[in-house]
Amino acid sequence: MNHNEQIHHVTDLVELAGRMRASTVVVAGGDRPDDLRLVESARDHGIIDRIILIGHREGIASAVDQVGIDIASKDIISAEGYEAVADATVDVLQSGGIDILLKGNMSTPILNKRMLSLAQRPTASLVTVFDAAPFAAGRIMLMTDAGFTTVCTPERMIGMVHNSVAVAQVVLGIKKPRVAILSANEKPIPSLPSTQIGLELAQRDWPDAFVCGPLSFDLATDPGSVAVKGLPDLPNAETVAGHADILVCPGIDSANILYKTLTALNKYGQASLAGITMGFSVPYIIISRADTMETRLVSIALCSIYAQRTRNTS
Amino acid sequence: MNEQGKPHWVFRAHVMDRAGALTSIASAFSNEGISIDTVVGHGSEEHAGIDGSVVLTFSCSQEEKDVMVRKVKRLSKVRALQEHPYESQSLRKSAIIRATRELKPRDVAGDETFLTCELVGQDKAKGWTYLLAGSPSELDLILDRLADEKIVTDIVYSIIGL
Repeated sequence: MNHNEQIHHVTDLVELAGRMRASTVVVAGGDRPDDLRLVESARDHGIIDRIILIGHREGIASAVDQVGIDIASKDIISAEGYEAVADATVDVLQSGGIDILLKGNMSTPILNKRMLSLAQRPTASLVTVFDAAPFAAGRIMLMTDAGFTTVCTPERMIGMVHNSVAVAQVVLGIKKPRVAILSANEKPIPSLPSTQIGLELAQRDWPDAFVCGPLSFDLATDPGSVAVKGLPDLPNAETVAGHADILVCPGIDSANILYKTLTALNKYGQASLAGITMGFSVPYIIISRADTMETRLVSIALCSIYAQRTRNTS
Repeated sequence: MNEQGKPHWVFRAHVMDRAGALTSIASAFSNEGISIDTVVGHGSEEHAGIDGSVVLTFSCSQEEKDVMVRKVKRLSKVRALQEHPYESQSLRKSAIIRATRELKPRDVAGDETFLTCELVGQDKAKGWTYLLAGSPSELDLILDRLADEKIVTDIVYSIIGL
């Protein structure tokens, strides 16, 4: 597989990342054995080659012993308490040379608040890359935002579209992705604000993407539904309807439900997914306790590919 | 069944890029916490973009196996997958063994059938070398018995296939 080869399934990212330059990962709150098993697995796959652990020194030493992982002593940074771990993490990221941040045993709000000082894009958002057998004939797609943006104003949704488009372009090689702004109806209805936001976003000028909205999930992903229901009278409908690459959910609640549906399908063996939090100086992985080992590993692969390709182009 | 009482399974995956396929299949099993017992790659089958097959054995519950079937079938480099219980009579296993003495028909008698047994070499220092073949569960029992009786000194090569 070369860098220009089409990625058909999310799990292909592991092999691709393993063939690229290996990344350095920093684990904020690196005293959880499960996180160490994850980064060790990523190191076994050739995705990462250096692991920096930040947190309670004795806790890290105990986890390192338990897992039997080899970590250089200079790569264990002692910090007591969530605030100190967050501060130390930002310091390490600012010093450079880090490709990926993985949130370990750490308060998400505290780390996110500190990370804002490293924001490089107007909006920080979670982009999920997935493929699922029941959706779009198993085609690889992206969705946003299942876990980071709690209030989706039109301005934030613009940022979410830009972040998703960047992942589609950099990782999947889709030059001009087809973006569906999801809602429950294709007609703007005052009582359903997401339909109005969908149309507002679709009417903007998007040089790097085809954006259409509002679209229901089936009209965004299923050409069969488009054939039955007809093409909606919306900007870019002929390009996006039935063929969307990116699904922008109207809020974190609907996005989280879709994400958890994908997680259930993943556990059943019918879907794969990986997440990357965009907007900061490095790709950021916030792992859900419900995520499988596969999702965690592929997330590291996704972030590594993004980090290496943006490093190479910058 | 293995030592934990979990059923033993055999997958045969028809693949493209055998090395890459092996990596992705192994990763899928590792992510589910299932250990692969044995794995063998077979040679080229020059049709339909398939360049070989991978046969692997493992133990897990039926539900876990069903998840693995779905996961492995979805891997990009896997073109087709066949699954079998290890006890399946459609499977064949062969082994090259070294024996301390000449084997008698009763040495290779299973419950219902005799194994295929061919002498492939005899050497003063190494003893008798045989090729044995049969269903995996039957061959395993006979190999265990021959080892218990200290007739087998070495299993040089063992492979499972269809």
